Amino acid sequence: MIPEVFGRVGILFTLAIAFPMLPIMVSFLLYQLKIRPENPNPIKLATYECGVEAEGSSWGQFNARYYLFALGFVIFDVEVIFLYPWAVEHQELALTVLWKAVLFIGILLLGLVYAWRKRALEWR
Amino acid sequence: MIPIEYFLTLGAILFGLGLFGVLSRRSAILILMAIELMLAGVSINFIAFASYLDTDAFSGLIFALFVITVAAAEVGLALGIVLRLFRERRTSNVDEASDMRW
Amino acid sequence: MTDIFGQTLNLNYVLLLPEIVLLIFSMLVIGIDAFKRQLNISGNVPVGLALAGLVVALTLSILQVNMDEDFARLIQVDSFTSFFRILFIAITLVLIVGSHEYIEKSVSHVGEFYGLLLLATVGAMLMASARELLTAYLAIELLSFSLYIAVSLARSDRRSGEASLKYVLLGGVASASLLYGLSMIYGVTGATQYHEISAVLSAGDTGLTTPLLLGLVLIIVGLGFKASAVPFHMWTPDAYEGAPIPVTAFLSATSKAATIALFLRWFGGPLLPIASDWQFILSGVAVATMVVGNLVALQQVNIKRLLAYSSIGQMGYMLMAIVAVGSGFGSDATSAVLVHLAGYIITNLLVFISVTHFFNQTGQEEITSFKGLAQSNPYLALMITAGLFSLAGMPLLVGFFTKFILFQAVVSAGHLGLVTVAVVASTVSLYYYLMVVRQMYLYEPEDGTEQWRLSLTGYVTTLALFVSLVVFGLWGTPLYAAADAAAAGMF
Repeated sequence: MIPEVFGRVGILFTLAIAFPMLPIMVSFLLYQLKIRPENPNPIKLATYECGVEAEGSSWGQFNARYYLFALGFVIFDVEVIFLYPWAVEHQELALTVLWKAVLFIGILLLGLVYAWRKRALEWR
Repeated sequence: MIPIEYFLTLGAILFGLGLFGVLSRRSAILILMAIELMLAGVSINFIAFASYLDTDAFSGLIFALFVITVAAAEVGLALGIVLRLFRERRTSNVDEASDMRW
Repeated sequence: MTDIFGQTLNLNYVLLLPEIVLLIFSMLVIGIDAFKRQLNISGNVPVGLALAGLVVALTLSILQVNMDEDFARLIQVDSFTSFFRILFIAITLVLIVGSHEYIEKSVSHVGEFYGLLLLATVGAMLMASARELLTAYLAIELLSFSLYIAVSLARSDRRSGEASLKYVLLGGVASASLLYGLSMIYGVTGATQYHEISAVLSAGDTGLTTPLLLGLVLIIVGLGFKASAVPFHMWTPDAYEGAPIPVTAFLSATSKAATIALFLRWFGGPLLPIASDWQFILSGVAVATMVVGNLVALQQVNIKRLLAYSSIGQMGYMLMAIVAVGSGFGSDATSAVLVHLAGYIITNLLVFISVTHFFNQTGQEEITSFKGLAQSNPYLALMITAGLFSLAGMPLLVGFFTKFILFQAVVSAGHLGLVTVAVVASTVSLYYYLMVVRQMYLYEPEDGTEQWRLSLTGYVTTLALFVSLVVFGLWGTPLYAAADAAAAGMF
């Protein structure tokens, strides 16, 4: 019984490992068979960072302002979790419950207005 | 079905790891992350109990939802305070915040 | 409206009016402060609004004194709730009136500060009235979060940020362990409603002693932190010293009283059937708290730290009475705790408001800076002396009467050993209170004997507190009757 439950997870786990590993292994195999050429140059070897040239070490200290934005984002992002149970059940609930969800979003909006007034949304 | 002990053990391990992190780390940010780990252990406990023992009610699941959001709010608040301290002293190391003793 | 089991839910929002009013007013205070330049208002509007909200909420709470109803099985509005509602609103009211000069001078973000005080009051009120674990937890966090921020708001004081950081990090660990404990209780009983937990636990042996014990220990750790019980008290002196003085007073009054209310609700309600499991843990904590709190207070040089350790000691006496609640003397012990709590709060507010006005004048908070206060301001010296003597439990003041009732209740519950420790600790406490009194009366002032006066609101609040200190000390019947009615609501 337990192996069966873990077996399903195991299949997913194997797939998850195989998905990135497969292209790397195929590429390596093609190189070993002398089918794929190898002509490295600095641009090819550079770290791929969404098309932007990577600069400096990744261990540097981040500007504290990033944290402020991240904080604002995370709090509003997580509060939305309360709408999940409502969204799942909303077809079976009375209309008054819709207004309660609206009220909840309204309270969140008050927080956003406060953040805007306190200039927490500006880069300064 | 996986026995509930598996989940409870996972929860206990996460909680213990978090507690160890709180006691051993010096950076305020890392301590906050450790507290998050403790709360993750709590959430796993609640969800496990809710789905094994209390299947017709949702108290445990709702509890877990609230734990997640309160934890986010707590981290937001604490990071704000760390930031203030960082601006005053250029450090987020809790050992250096020691103007007051005994 | 019915819930998913088809049980009728009582959605009578009138029951929550005091809390709702305070919430709306706190939002108004913060909102108006954020738009103050556009609205072109004077600086007195935030404090006026906060006071208006408190007065309205106080009136509504007094009107609901005789209620006994639940709101949606989450909140119970009974006489116990009413007692704490009135107490908490009164504390905030007195604090704001008594120390608004300090707040305007030495606190940054004044509007938010008032809003946070109102929010913290709501949190404390909900802690006393919750009848379900999740509601209680959210109330704890509402109170704690407001205070984490309020502690950090002292203007141009490096200690404030440090105090707040220590408070928030340790507070996070405490609430995590409290939650883990609650999850264990939920796992054993399958319920979050107090009365359901109580029913399951009193039905007999659940066969799950270990998880239950683990849950109890973790709950005591979490609540003990909030009550600054030894050995979870390490944050208390630092948070007290770094915080603005009104917040220190708030921490020592509302925050402690709310935690004791929660202790009474939990250990006198859902956890009462397993009293034998937690009584010995709590006795140990209470003894450690009384001894350490009073002994470490002896070597303090800062008045706020001294009062922090003194409040730790006071918490020890109350935890001792909660042990007595477990011995089957619930109603008596509860009313004794409530009486002592009310007396302690009146006294503590008097001391803190006096210290606030002393700080306004001198900018000092070391004990030695009180030198010769009896000459430069005899009135304030008298107020502080009366407060400290009452904290020590001297006769004729309210502290003696309430401590007597408390110790008597614990003795009649059969815990003579605990009371012996308490009496010794209480004697020790007299020494460090006298150290402050000695500075005021036996030394010459360092910078001349120039006389100074308090502000009008300072005189009004300190005099009102002083009068109740003496009146309740001589004639404690009204206090006792109120506490008795509140305790009767619970048992």
